[in-house]
Amino acid sequence: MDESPDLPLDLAFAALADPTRRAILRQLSAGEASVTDIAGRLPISQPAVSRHLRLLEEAGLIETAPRGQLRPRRLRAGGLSAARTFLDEMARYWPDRLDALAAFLDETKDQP
Amino acid sequence: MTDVPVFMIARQFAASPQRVYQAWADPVQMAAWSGPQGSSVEILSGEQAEGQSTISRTSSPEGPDMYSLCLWRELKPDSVVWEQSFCTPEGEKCPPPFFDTWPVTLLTEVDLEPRDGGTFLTLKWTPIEYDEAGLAKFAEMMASMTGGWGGSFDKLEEWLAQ
Repeated sequence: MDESPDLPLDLAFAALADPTRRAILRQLSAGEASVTDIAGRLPISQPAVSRHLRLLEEAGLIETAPRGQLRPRRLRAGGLSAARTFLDEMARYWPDRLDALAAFLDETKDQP
Repeated sequence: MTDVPVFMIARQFAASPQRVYQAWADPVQMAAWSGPQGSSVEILSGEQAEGQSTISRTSSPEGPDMYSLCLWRELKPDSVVWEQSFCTPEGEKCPPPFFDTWPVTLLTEVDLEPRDGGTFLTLKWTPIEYDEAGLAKFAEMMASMTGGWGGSFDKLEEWLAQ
């Protein structure tokens, strides 16, 4: 069972499950960027950024522009758009926050 | 005049209206639950009080910091109302990080009423400062509400079918 027919879907969801990778997708939605550009906007190391980029690329969400020494990354046409990811985050915003509020009220119910 | 889409959500809480109100009115309590999971929220300047503005920062262990400018219109035990915009660390309104089409300012209206020994909360989210493109994105976000990630599933399936 090492080859699953759902592999691309699994890869895409695994790639999207991480907030850093969603942040990278949002950044690339504004235009292509080099690993250095991307690392400069995130509080993580360049090797860590490279690992995230590799996962996004394997998931088919981004690609490497076929030119230049800097090998800029860009969103892959037909991949899941970063805009979509942002809108989904916004759509989940209040439902998730109210869940968190309910949990907070439950945790603090015995406090004076 | 364009019809402005309004996002609405309602929720029943077991806690009393006083406790639910405090969770919104007390900045320390609000910071404990109002940021996305794993993040922390800190008020950098201003006071969370009627007629006052605050600038706050939401930090995640991974991902960029986000700044919000809030104008607190009403802080009453049955009604909390504020205007909220993404902003720069200095408090200048700006688009959200890496996403340039979104309403500039959203009005959030929270109503709290006692019900069944707890609190019934209704929340309305309305764009009040926007351009047409930003309003269209807000409407698109609402359309994707059916299941949250539902929109992404559709898009993924579309893409996989290519």
